[in-house]
Amino acid sequence: MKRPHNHSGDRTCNSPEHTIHRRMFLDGSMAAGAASVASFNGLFSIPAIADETRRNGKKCILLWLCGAPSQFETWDPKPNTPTGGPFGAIDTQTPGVQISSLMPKSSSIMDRLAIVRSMKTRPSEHFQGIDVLTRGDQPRPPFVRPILGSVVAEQLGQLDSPVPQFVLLDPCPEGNEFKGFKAGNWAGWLGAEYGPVRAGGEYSIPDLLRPETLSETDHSDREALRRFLSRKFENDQRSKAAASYNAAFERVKGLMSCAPLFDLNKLPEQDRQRYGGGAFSQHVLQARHLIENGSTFVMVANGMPWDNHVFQHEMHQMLVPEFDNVLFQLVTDLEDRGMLEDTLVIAMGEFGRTPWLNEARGRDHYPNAWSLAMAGAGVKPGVVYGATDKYGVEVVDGQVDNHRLFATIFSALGIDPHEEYDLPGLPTFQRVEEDAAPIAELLIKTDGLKA
Amino acid sequence: MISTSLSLTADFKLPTGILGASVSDDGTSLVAACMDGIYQADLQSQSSEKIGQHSSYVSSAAFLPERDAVISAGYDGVIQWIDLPTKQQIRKLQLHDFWSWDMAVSPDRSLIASVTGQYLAGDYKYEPLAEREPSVKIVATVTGEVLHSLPHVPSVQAVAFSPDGKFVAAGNLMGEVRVWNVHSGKLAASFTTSDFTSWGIIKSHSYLGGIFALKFTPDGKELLLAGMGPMQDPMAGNGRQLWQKWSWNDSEPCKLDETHKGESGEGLMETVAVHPDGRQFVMGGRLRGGDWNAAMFDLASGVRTATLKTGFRVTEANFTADGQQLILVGAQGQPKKMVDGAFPNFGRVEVYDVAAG
Amino acid sequence: MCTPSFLSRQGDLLRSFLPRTSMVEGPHRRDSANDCGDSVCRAVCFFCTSFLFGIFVTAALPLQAEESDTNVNAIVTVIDKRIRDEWQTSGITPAEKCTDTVFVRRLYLDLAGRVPTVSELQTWLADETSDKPENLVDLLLNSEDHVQHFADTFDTLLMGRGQSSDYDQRRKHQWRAWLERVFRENRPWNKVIEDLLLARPESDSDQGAVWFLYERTNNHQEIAEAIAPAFFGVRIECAQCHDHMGAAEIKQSHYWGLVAFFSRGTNTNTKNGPRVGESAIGGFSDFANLEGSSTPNLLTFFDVETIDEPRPDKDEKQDDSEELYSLASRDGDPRVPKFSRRQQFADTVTANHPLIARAAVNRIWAMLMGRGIVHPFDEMDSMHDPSHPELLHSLAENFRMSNYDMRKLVRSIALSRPYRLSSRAPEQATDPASFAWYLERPLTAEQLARSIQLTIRGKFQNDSLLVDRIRQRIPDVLPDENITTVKDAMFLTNSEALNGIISNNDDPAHLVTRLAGLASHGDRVDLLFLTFYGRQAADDERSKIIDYLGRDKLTRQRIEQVIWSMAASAEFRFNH
Repeated sequence: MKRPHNHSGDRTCNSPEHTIHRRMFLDGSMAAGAASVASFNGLFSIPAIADETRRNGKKCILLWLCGAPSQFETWDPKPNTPTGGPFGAIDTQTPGVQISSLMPKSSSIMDRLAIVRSMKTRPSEHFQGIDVLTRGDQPRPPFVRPILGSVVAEQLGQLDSPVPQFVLLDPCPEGNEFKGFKAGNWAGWLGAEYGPVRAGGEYSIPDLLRPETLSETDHSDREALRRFLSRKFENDQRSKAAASYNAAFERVKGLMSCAPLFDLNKLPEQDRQRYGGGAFSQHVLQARHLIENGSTFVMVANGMPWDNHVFQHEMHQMLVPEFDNVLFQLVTDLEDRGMLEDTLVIAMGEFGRTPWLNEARGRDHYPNAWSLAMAGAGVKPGVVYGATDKYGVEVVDGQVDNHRLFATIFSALGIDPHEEYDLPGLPTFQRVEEDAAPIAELLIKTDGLKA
Repeated sequence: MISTSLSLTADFKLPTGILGASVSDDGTSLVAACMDGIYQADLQSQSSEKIGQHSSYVSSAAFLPERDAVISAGYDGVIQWIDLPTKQQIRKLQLHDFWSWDMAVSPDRSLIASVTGQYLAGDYKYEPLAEREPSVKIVATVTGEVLHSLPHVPSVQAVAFSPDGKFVAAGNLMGEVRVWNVHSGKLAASFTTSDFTSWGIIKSHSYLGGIFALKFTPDGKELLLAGMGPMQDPMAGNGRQLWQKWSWNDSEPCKLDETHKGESGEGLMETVAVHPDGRQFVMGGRLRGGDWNAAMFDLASGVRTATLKTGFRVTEANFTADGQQLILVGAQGQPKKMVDGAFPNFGRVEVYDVAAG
Repeated sequence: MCTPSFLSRQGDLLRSFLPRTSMVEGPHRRDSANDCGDSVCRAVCFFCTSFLFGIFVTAALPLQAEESDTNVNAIVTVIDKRIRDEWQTSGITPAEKCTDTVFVRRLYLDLAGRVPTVSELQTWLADETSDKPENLVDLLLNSEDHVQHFADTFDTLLMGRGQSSDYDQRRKHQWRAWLERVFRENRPWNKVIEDLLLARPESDSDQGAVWFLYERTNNHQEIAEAIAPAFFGVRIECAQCHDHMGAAEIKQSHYWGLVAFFSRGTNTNTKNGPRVGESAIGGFSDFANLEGSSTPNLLTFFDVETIDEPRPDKDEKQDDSEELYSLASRDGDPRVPKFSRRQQFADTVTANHPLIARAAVNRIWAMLMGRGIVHPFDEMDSMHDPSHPELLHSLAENFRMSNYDMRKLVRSIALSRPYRLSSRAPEQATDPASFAWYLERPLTAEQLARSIQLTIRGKFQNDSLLVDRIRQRIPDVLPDENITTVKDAMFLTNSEALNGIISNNDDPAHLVTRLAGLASHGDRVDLLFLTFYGRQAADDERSKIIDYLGRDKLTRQRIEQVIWSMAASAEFRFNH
């Protein structure tokens, strides 16, 4: 219907979300069936402000486990404790390291993964958590920090590629706060041209074909005229609205040229079997395909399924095995193709889950001590960093916050974490604030890192 | 007007959440399946004692008075027999690779049925993958022999025997109920109700929901199912508190009745039990909205006759054999703070006197 | 028995005149520990509790003499002064006055929902009377186009965007006709609200008013979540499960109280059409918070004392006897409970509630100025402070005193100085809340559809297929940010919607035909620029278009490409 599906248990109460709910209310993208309308929320490849030196071939896939998975049922099991839940722990290829028994496949590639068990962040509500863990920092209105994918696309993007450099694959149109977040401003102060192309699932890309009555020349010529008139208006008026408008039109032609990349049915059937049937798995495979074909950053999500305030274990018994398989397939595929050393894989949500169970046998939001996994690019394989206490209540070793995490991610991709943004009208912002140091133990190359 | 009065006579705690329980024939003792083990509790003195455990949560427990034993099932897929006088395990059977979600004992106590199933993504929209092991098993209580391994679609979350012991019924998260002839193992009926929510289907492509409890009516002709109606809002768990009564043995199984309009609040219902007089039943679970989380209903008319607001989530309801008492068990939230190195108790037991109102 | 208790609260007084910087910056800098992990949320909670939960500016605040004058000119003076004072305080130099052409285009778009025709524009430019702005505003406000435009806008604000079938239903069940009637007769806004909330039409011509409740099909939470922003300017969804963590004055009891006022309603189909009946019993429930404790839902809402209503005992069955009801005043309508919760809400909560006027004023301001005095316009809570609190207060009071006269309010804002500023922001000005320049915004779907038809076909239909196509694809009403997505660009580029209007050009009044019939490319450029932009072409624009039209034999296709390039250009797409 016309109203936002506002859920309850863990509502966030900040204004951006309200804003976005209203926007969706007004533009009808909350309406059932109108979902395909909003399917494609972003822009295309990176404009050719040629700076060849910035290319270093590094890429990134973010498995965005939205809603926040439980560390107890994944990377930081506490078997046979009051907080450990019903699942056991299994040995991994790395001696002395155990992970949840729900993850047998990942246990076999622990020598290629790096696990952080000592995440401690601040926001405990989804919207703010998603904001901080995808942008790297707390909001500082009115300035909007670009999301990780936008930064990576801007820094490492293949400038002349028609393939979208930042793609969000999210087949699920729903997802409570994440749905709202998706409608927000992702590229922030970098500008809308660094926003993601959104695709996935039933999100077909509409109006992808040139009208039959129009020749290719006419199609290009009239766009050239439009661009001339609109650019002039943009410059004369110093119009930000026109700037965004014109940037969107710049992407049309390139996007029209690479439509097949977005067709799930064109992926090899054997691979599709191997990754598993679920929508998330299929889109992780598509992420690999996009990265192989020239995208720089692909973020894969599936709505917000991990938010198990109700029946934590009953839901995780389904969700974790799918994630386990997908991570295994992706990392081994990248390795087999010789791409792992240039491709960073990150798997995380916006926080962890409480050690204690609520009345509904769910685990609630818990930013105080949680885990995530990385692999590839400049990340050192086989590392388990940090630790929590015996019940998983507090971090006892190697505490990592969002600043240090982002400093590490940027360093692993060869991007200077502390570079200042040099944009007109912007106060001093660094890519990662507070001079946060990357975690040396997680990086292969540590020269030049600040201590 | 039909009405029943329920008055609280006892209220005590066990160390961890209680997922299932049974009451002894004489109504004095309770065996509880808890997150951390099996407990026997004396309902008069309200004292309890741990008598065994599984390597994971315990999901069901029942008395086998003929052998002075208890049988339990757990999330480790094991069923085990425990000798009550010695508290020693008599037999252990790795019945399933995955959890035992629920276990039922036949009326003559010669058989138990246990249901399992890991719900794994089968297809794009997370239709469940076909079972990897038989979802329903029937075991002889005396020998431990597996008499039948029966197929269903995982996860299968609720199981019950008919009062004459001839049939066993099992319901799953997709709302499908299968009924088998216990002796032949042949499928006797199956039907699907789409009226129970599938948890999470709105917010994402993954579910949890369906039928969380079921029981035969005393004449064996009908099945009572319990769960929650469709939700506007998955995380809220705000579907209506729903039971349905199905005639299962007709050529076309059909729904006869369900929670009456105006008599349900919101919340997932996890248990249903028929009163020994055969005229009423109780359903219990969680209060998300409305004013009750356990209620009695007249079996024939479906009219609600009494309500309770317990303040904790009810996971299992039992009547004593004489019908004079109703025992509700369940769990409140696990306390956040440990006291002296342990979490304070959060399993709950309440005993009510049942009287005509 | 129950009197509103929102009068005279010191906290409100204090708050509404605190310097704005301390309101905004203070909370964000705070860093105290609290359960809620977000610093903004945490800080604001602290902040509002320390100011007695005050967001609701009271009726008791005195207005200065000149601010009580309900004459339009007096209101315009107040607006100009309040806005100018703030520029001076902040050292802002506002933008230049916009050109007459831009001003006329703006007024047509904002008041009549479309661009002006060439002749409308030229008539006004040629007019030499000194009060021609006032005359044009009056002309437009009395036009049928104004009725249509405001009906479009308020349809979106009150009902939300929908699918084609929703719009069909809204027409079929007289909702659209009712909205049009409201704006055609300039019905007082408080009366409009009463009609919508009571949903008991007294005449056939008002029966569409029931659709506000009826379309929400007995979903009482949805109804509550619509009423709060639509009429009180506050969003309450957050308070479904707990007191609002950011705006502490919004309680969970308000959420469920508002639901309770409407929870006895049931859609019924009568011989008079759809109606929303009301029961005299039931609707007593508890709501549970996150901790699991539950509370009865009482009849309460912002700042108004709880309305007494006997609650039945647990398990007490209420008898739904006829004695509890009166007959409907119209034969065939549902019977009316003697104690009607909806009536209680209208009489006791809504009537004269200060938020009603504030919310209306803020929204009309946002529609005309591109941004509310409180931004976002429907989050007038303690997390969002007004940029000009005194102005908001005096406009709201004035609105009340002028009997909630929407048209007068629109007129005052449209004739104010800030409305007439250029949209080219001064170099040093960065804060849009200063209203130091006109805030550019995209045309709404309906404005765009009408304007495309008018410019290209020379006429328009309000319910054309084009409206529906655009409404489903690039709808915009009061967007918070001017972001165009590539899907919008793809739509304008490749979809049949715009291309079809251009290529289907047999009609002699069609722009393609008219252009083809002109003598020279120069004439063609003149007509194109006047039609789309209302101005002359600049030299480089002129030569570019002439080059493209070419020296060879002119083809209609080439004209079509030029028309597309202008209809899809930024200057046409935005109200600036």
